[in-house]
This record gives sequence, structure tokens and C-alpha cells, in this order.
Amino acid sequence: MRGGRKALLKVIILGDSGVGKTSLMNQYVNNKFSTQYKATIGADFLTKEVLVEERSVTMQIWDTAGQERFQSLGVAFYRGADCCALVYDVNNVKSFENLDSWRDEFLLQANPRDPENFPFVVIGNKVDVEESKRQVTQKRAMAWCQQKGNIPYFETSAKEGINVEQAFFTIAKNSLKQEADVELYSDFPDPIKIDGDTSVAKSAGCEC
Amino acid sequence: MIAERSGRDRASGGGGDGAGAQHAGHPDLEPIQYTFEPARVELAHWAHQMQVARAEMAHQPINDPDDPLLGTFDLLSHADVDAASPGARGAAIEPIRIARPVDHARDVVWDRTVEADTSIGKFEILSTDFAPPPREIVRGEPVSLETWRSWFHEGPRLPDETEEQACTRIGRLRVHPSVVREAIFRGGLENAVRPHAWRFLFGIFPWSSSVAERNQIRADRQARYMALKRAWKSQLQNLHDSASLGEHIVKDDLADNIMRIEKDVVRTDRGHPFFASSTVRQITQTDLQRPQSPTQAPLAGSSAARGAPAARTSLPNSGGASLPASPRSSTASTAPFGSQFRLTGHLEQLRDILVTYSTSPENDGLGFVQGMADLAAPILVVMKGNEADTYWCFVWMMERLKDNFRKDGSGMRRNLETMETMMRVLDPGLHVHLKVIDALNLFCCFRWFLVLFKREFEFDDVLRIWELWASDRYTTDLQHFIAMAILDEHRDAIVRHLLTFDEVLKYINDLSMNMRLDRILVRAEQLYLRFEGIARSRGCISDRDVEPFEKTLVERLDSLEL
Ligand SMILES: Nc1nc2c(ncn2[C@@H]2O[C@H](COP(=O)(O)OP(=O)(O)OP(=O)(O)O)[C@@H](O)[C@H]2O)c(=O)[nH]1
Ligand SMILES: [Mg+2]
Repeated sequence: MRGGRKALLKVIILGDSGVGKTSLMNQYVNNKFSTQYKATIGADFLTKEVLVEERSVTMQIWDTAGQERFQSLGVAFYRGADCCALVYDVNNVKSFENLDSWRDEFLLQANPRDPENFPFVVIGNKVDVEESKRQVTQKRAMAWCQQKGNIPYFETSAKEGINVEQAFFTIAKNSLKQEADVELYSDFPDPIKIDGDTSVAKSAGCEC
Repeated sequence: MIAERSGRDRASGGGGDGAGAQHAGHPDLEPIQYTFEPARVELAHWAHQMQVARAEMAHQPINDPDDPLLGTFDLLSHADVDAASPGARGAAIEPIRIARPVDHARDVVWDRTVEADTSIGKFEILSTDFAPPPREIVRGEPVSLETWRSWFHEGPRLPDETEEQACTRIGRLRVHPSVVREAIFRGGLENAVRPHAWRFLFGIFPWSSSVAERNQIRADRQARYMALKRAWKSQLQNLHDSASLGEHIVKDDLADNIMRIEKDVVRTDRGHPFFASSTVRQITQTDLQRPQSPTQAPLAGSSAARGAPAARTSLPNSGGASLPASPRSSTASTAPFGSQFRLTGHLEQLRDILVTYSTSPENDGLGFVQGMADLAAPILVVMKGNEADTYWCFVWMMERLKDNFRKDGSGMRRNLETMETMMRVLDPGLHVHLKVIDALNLFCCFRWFLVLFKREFEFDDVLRIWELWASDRYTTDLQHFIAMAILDEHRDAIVRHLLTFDEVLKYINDLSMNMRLDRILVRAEQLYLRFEGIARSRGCISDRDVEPFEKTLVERLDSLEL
């Protein structure tokens, strides 16, 4: 990857305590689910190499504690994020209602260059649980996503490994896009596009 | 921000040597932004392992207590730690007096970081500290039941008595509490002694109490615990009644706390045998449609038990026969209003303790905060399921730690700032390095302080750390020295290889369950003594000070003008 573009994608997973953030991350990175995960204290991250659009990139996935008490700490971790995954538990309506404040908090703290277009992904987790327990319909969740600027929406089960890969793939793809856009801005204040993205990528590489 | 990051990284070629070198001698420069590189974390781990292996190979033969070289070694070299470990040196308990004259003429300028050669360049560090020469630290054996009893009147066991029985009728302490504290600090406690000793260490019994006084204290505390627990249970009953009358329940703190507590209780120490027989059953829709009184037994035949061991036991009990049975309701399982889970056994007890705490006057309006379950569970294990005693030990512990749980983060911030100041005094090189790579906020130590190393060591090691911490030998802030000891153990790997905040955090998080406590405890004591030596040489400690220090460590540190 030397000489190429930066290949580290920073992804932040946010959502209420117990919605399954740690479980999702571990299912994605290690293909494992354990009922023994502990409540997250502070923050940690895992990395995974992925191939997106023929580029090998490193995803750095940040898992933070869900209890709002720890948010004063969050600040340092949100900075420089390329994508943010908002997770709720489909069987817990409160965790869904809190997505708004998680999103606002993130935008406030991470302070991304272009908040309107910052890539979010929404994940409704624990769909393996019996249907009768479900409190948030797919329709309702999708309406929210649409209203917030067409955020991609996934329903997953970290336990059964349903849809997890797909959700994170979209996260990777959208982060990469974000990363590319930002570099375009920063390295070349007045970019003159000749023939699209590729030439920009090439010239960026030459700089090294 | 992102642009900065990637741009700089490209300029430095990802290596760091070029970019860092120009800053030599300018520790006050702004942090440099590098990009996280997982390989550097791997490299740092590898380097540390090599360093340990090398030290062990090189110094294996050093087991002669009279080796003249020992005294002149770098205080924190591996040789010193290894030589001082019980295995190498025997386990003589040598009490350490801290009031020792400081002989400046003899003292060495002990500072390996006068010039800090780090991966981001060389830094000149001015240090005029005179530190006492390294002293040999000897760890001791854990205190046995016999030793424990020998410290009390009427301690010896009668012929027809069990050890447990003998321990519960012991009279007044015959020795000075400092003898007990020192012994506990030196070697910790054997498992069998813990339930007895922790009741003293964690503030239930005064050291001076007689057996009659202790019985009285215990009865009082038990009654108070029961009253507190009854209060929230009946509050729940009321909520439940209103709910079943169809009244709209407005947001309720109690129900909210219970929900959050249960979420964590079911994720706490589930792998420990003590909790193995406790069960968790998610409350199903069926249960909710047929509301039941919180004191009623669960519905027979309700389905959907999930992720829980199959067997349901009633009352896994409190092991030690002589300990009063824990106060708990006779029903096998209760699910308070608002519960998501039906818990049994020790998990149910853990929940009740935490709910009681969240509603108690001692709680100070904190409610339940994540991390509390990690602090309460080990105490419940040591107390063999005695709820009331666990509760009061926990309350004592929280009195010391609760600032860390404040919503505004003030307590934790102070903790981390204290660490930073300590580091500036004890290891300026590491301090500069972390500053330059923008990791001086020390978030990497956050979890250590919040749950007192619960997540970093195996269960038994955690108990050991806690009893040393509660022994108050030297200081009531032992956690800071343990934290410094861990950082110190890994400082070379950190300074030589890690270039970003992320890498430090990852490296430190990776250490969890992978550290040797014996080495760290020796180091922590050495660091304490060194710190005290420095503080003394700067006039921050006078010989009139009593130990453990009455003034807080933070105040003392703040008075160290650098
Ligand atoms: N049935 C089911 N349970 C899940 C799923 N994902 C997580 N869980 C369970 O939900 C609980 C919480 O999961 P975690 O991954 O620890 O939740 P978290 O969001 O990381 O929580 P915090 O660390 O407290 O913020 C655990 O008991 C998991 O076993 C899922 O997809 N299905
Ligand atoms: Mg988590």
C-alpha cells in the first residue's frame, strides 16, 4: 500500500448499552458470538483488513461504552472518524428513540467537515429474537433513516451472524468514499477534474 | 483533521524517524499526528516479550541475596524485580520502614531518562532528583488462617471446632493493626481468610472491636440492609399495582436503574463457578401479558429460556456454615416490575445489592453506573453469598471510588491527571513521549481505575490487588502506583515503538489477562518508595507525617512544583 492513499478507515459504533455493539464487532471481525461479553468500559477497537473495490484497506472499528455516563470521554475517540454505525435493538424501542441523540452527539463531537453528507449506517440488531418481542418495525426504522438523509439501514443478528458482513461492507464502502472526498478537498484545494477519481488517486500517490 | 493526519503521515513515510528527530530537545512542541499502524502494536508486544526473555536469561543465576551488584542496579530493571520475587529470594517477611534518613551524599542521581531516546527523537530532560538507592523488595506469603487467628485473643482453634467457627469467635486484635496491614500488603490473604479479613479491611468491623461489638455491628448492618431492600421492593410493588390498574407510569428512576443493572449483571463474571448455577431467563411476552406480583413464583411452563444453563437451583447457598445465611426472600426467583430477566441464585443477589445501592442514601444520586457490577461481584464471591455483608463492603469501596462514577467525569479526570503528574515525576521520558504522540490524556488507564483492575487480571489476582489496596499500607492510592508499575513494565516497548494514541490504547488493552501480578506488585512498591523519596527530597513530606498519608496524594503531587 506504500505510495497509495491512506488505507485506514476509522469507524465508530454507537448506540445504547446492551444493544449489541461489542457482539456485532466481534461477529464481524472474528466470526464469533459469545454470551460472555462484558459491558464495555471505556473504549477499545479491533482492526480488520478488507477488500473494497479492489483496494485493500484496514478498518479500525471502535467500540465504546453505551452508557451515557461515559460520553464525556467519547470526544477523543470520535475525531477523525470516516463512518459512524448507529446501532439499536429492534426489541427495545427506547434504544431506537435514542438514535437521534447519538447521531447529534456524534456530529457535535466529531465535527466532520461536511456533516450533511457524513456517512452513517443504521443497524437494527437482535432480529433473531422471537417476533412477538419486536418493538420497532422495519418500516418505522427505514422512515427515520430516510428522513436523516437516506442513511443505509440493516437488520442484523450478531448472535446468528445474519447480515453483519453486509452491514460492515457498506460501512467500509461508504467510509472509503468519505475518505476519498476529504482527501480531494485537503490535498488539492482547487481540484481540476480531468477524468474522474482515478487520476486524482494517481497524482496523490506520486506525491510520496 | 483527517487531511492533517494523512498528509503528515505521508511526509514522514510512516516511519517517524525523520519527522521526530527535528524535535529533539523541544518537548513542548505540539503533538505530532501519525496514522495508526497495527504493525507497530505487534512489534511493541514482541519487543516487550524479547526484553523479558532476555532479562530472565541474563539474570537467572542471580539468586544470591548478598550479591553486591543488586543494590546498584537500576531500580526497575528486570534483574531487580526477578531477584526480589519470592521464588528467587525466599519469602522472609521484612517489614519496610519508610522513615529512613536520606543520605544525599550517598544517593545516586537515579534517572535513566536524563536523555530520553524515543522513537520520535531524543529529548533532553532536566532532572535534579536525588532518589534513594533502590531497595530490595521482598514479597511475602499469603496470610493463613492460623496466622490470622494468632493476631487475635482467643484465636487458637478448639479441638472440636472448624476453622470457620474459630474465626467467628475470635476476640480483640492483640497486635497493632499496622502489623496486620503490613502482612496483608506483603503477601495478601489465603482464600479461606478472606471472608473474615475483608470484613475488617472493607470497613465493616473496626480493628479494635470485640466479638460482642462485631456481632452487634453485623446485626445492625443486616437490619439496615434489609430495610433498604424492602423499601425499593415495595415501591416496585406499588408501580406494579398502578400498572396493572392501567395507569400510565411516567419515567421512573427505580425501574430505569433496575433495567440497567440487570443488563450488566447478566454480563458479569458469568464464567466464574460461583455464578454457574444461577440462571437467567428472559421475560417473555407471555409473562408480560399475565402480570404477576413480584413476589410470586414464575409461571410454570413458560417457554423461551434462552442462553441460560438448564438447571434451576434454589438457593445456592452461602457455603460457610458459621456465616449467617444471607437475607433473601424465600421465593426461588423474582422479577421486579420492569425487569427483562428473571434471575436466580447469586445473580439475583448481585442485582438486589446493586439496586439497593442505587436507591440508598450512600449512593449520592449516582444511580447505577456501568462498572459497579464488576466491583460488587468479587465481594459477593468472597462473602460466599452473604448479601448484607457484601453490600456494606461494597458501600465502603464505593465511598473511595465513587467520584470516578460521576456524570461529569470529574473524578476520573482527576485520577488521570494525578497519574500524569506522577509520571512527570517518576518517568519524564515516558511523559514526554506520550505528550508528543498526544496520548497524555491517559485514557488507556481509564478502565484500570474505574473497576480497580478488575478487567486486567484473573479473578484471584484481582482479589489480591483489592486486599492490598484496602490494606492502606503506605498509601490509600495504591492503584496509582500499580498503574505506574504496569506502564513502567512496558515503557520501553511504548517509547520505542508506539507513535499514536490509538496504538498505546490498543497495546494497553491487549495486556488484559496477560500480566504477571507478582512483578507488578514489586514494581509498584519500588515506585512508591522512589516517589516518596523524591517527595521527601523536595520537602513535600516531613518526618512527622503519619502513614498512610492523611493528605491525599493529589494534594501532595500538586505541591510538587516542577
Ligand atoms: N439474541 C441476541 N442477543 C444479542 C445479540 N447481540 C447481542 N446480544 C446480547 O445482548 C447483550 C448485550 O450485548 P453487547 O454486545 O455486550 O452490547 P453492547 O452494545 O456492546 O453494550 P455496552 O458495552 O454496555 O454498550 C449480551 O447479553 C449479548 O449476548 C443478537 O444479535 N441477538
Ligand atoms: Mg459493549
